[in-house]
Amino acid sequence: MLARVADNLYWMSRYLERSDQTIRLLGVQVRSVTDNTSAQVAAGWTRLFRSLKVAPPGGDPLYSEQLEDSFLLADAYTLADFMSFERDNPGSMVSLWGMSRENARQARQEITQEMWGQLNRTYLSLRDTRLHFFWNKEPENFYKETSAQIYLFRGVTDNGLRHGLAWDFIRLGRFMERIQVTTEILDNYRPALDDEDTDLDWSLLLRSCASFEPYCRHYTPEIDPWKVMTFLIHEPESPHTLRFAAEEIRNGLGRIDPAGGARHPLQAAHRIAGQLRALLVYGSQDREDLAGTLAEVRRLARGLHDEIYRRYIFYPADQALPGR
Amino acid sequence: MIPVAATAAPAFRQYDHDPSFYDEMFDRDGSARRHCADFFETIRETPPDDLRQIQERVTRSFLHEGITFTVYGDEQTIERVFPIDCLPRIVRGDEWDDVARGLEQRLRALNLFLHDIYHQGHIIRDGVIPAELVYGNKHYRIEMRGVEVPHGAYVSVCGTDLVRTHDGFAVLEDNLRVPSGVSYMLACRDAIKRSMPRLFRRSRVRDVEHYSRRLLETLRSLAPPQVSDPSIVLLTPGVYNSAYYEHAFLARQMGIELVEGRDLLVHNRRVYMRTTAGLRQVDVIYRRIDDDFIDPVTFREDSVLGVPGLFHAYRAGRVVIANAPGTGVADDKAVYAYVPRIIKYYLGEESIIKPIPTTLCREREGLAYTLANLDKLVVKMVGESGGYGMLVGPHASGAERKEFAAALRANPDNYISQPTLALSRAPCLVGAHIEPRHVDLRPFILQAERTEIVPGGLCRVALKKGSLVVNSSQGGGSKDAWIVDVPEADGTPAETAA
Repeated sequence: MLARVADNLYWMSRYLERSDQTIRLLGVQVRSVTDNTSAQVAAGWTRLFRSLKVAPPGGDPLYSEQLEDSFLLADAYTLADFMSFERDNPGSMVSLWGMSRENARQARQEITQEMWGQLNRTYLSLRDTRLHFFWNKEPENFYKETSAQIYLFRGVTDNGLRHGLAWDFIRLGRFMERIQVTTEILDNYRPALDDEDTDLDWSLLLRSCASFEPYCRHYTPEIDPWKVMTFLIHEPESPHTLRFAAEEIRNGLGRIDPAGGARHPLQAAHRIAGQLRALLVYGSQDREDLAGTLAEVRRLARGLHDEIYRRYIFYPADQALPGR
Repeated sequence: MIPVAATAAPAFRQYDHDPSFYDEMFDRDGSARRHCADFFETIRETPPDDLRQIQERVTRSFLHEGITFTVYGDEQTIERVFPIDCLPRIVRGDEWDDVARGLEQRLRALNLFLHDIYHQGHIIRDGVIPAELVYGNKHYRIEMRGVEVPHGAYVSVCGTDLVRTHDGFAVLEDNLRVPSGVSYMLACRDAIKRSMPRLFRRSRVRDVEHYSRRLLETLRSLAPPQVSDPSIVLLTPGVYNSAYYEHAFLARQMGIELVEGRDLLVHNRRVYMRTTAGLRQVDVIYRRIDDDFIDPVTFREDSVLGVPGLFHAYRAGRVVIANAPGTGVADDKAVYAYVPRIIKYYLGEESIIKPIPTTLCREREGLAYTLANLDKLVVKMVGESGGYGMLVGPHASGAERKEFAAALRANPDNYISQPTLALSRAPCLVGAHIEPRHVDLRPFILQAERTEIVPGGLCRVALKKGSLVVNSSQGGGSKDAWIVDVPEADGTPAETAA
């Protein structure tokens, strides 16, 4: 497959995953308006903007403490609107879909008509003002339905596209984005573990990571903050945990370049993917190591992205001659 | 006047049947032509609202599939659907067969012409065509001299614009460089089949769906002989090109890579594409970018679309580019006037498709004639396409004609004139009514070892009432073109439909 097209597929998928995460966070947040105190709601907005690294409207992004006060006052809908429909906000749902679609458009020969149709149709409907009306009336339902469109896209992808290189790069993009965003979300909940006074509702975190039901299955609906945290980091079978993403990334790289992960010397990308997995499978699960673990995941994920690009996308031509 | 056959049909209430134009559905006295009779009966019985819904569904499916072109506005970019009319234009099979023979003949002659002018130039030495029309043409590529092209197929993909009058089909222009529109032909057909499946089946329409396979075969047959399994790519200018949808569509249908200039590189006169598993050699390039942009080293230096060194690899025979560079000289509007003579010269045959009488303003009598008859003629600029730089005399105001006459006098070499043709009209859905609009037809001809023409083409429609300009940039749309085999005269159906 063309390196440029792999790049497009990878980003198509990353933007879509990011949009999925954003939608879920927004769904949780608008729900929180009916369930929680306004202080909790305001804290939730702060976590949301920090996790997604988006500057809130009018605010200096880097999260001064006063910001929480302004979130107390701001209308939740203004913020949700900004994160959903604002085209000038590159982190809004509409912008993310737009970027995803733009990348898909440049990889049209590798994706199926159904994938493109699903992506394009949803994008066009998100720009339709009638949908805005629905959002205004029932925001939580709106987010649920948009989320369903992403699941539909993934179903169409898994069932229609050949599970070859294109599929591998799409999957790689999805889990690379997932591990990075989820790490940020967890890191923004971390301080609350040590805060005795907090009345934080930890089920929100599980819902933000689409893991409420898996958690309840594994433990009980009794929510324990520390169990929530370690579950989302180390649990191997739930698709939204860090460990799950790390396994997927490592396996995906193995399919993309089998020799690079098997023959001496191992490709740098494969080594990092292995380290990432080892950290999440065998690494410390002690409370005092949590901050360090998250920081290390963040560092490795960034390094991995760079190495993937250096090896498979933007490699220097003279190292790759010739071969038919 | 409403066609007699349609007097009772509400959808045809606004149909202005004018026998001075050939009507694709009705004959002079307003009865439905025999090969359209069944279709007409069905449409007549269909409430106009149903037709409108079909039209809307087709348009929506085009939007969702991304069959759009982009309009860049101030606030946001808008993607528009290429307007499509759901009523097909129907052409009789036997008439089409004559056209197809004519197209094959024409392209064969033009390919021989191209070979000749890039080699010895017999036709010029024999005084059949003036040297300056060829060598002075801005599309003549001196770099192509002496280059051997596989099967002599300089043009392996051609889209020829045909119009029809009471006198039959005529060639309006040849598109020998990077003709586009075939994906619309295929998408239109697909949409129409889904919208009116029963009527379609009953109508015994000839297939066009095999176009992509034929195109791939044509490209494969161009590959260097020593390559057994050639690697073929489609070279596109990229996602911002208005025909990008078509490029992606064809690449997908053929299962070949869709590459941009930045995906290719030349090393040691071989062309490689950058894949995730390293560099891979390319043997055939179906290019959809203009000559100028193919190779910044050889052609335009400021081009960022092309591949440096590509032309050298091409000259060395390590890669094939289709269409070959330099074919534009043969679809020039001034050379057009000589095509019947070109056919005669190389093939010793008369042109099967009638030419449109063309006056060259570069000749003194030609200029005088054109200026004296400006209100009756169509005057075209030689180097332009897409309906630009054109005066339709009978439709122009006195001031426009005056302005054009001045330009004409200043640079007569740059213009040709032709009589204003009474282009045929076909029924189109306009709002909730069916009205006649002018149409043309662009069939696609593939030529390498052999010639392949899929029966049909892109039928373009001038959607503005009375307009003769069918270009999409100027308010044109498209419709499906059906080549149908007519039942025998005694009413028994022909045995062509399975």
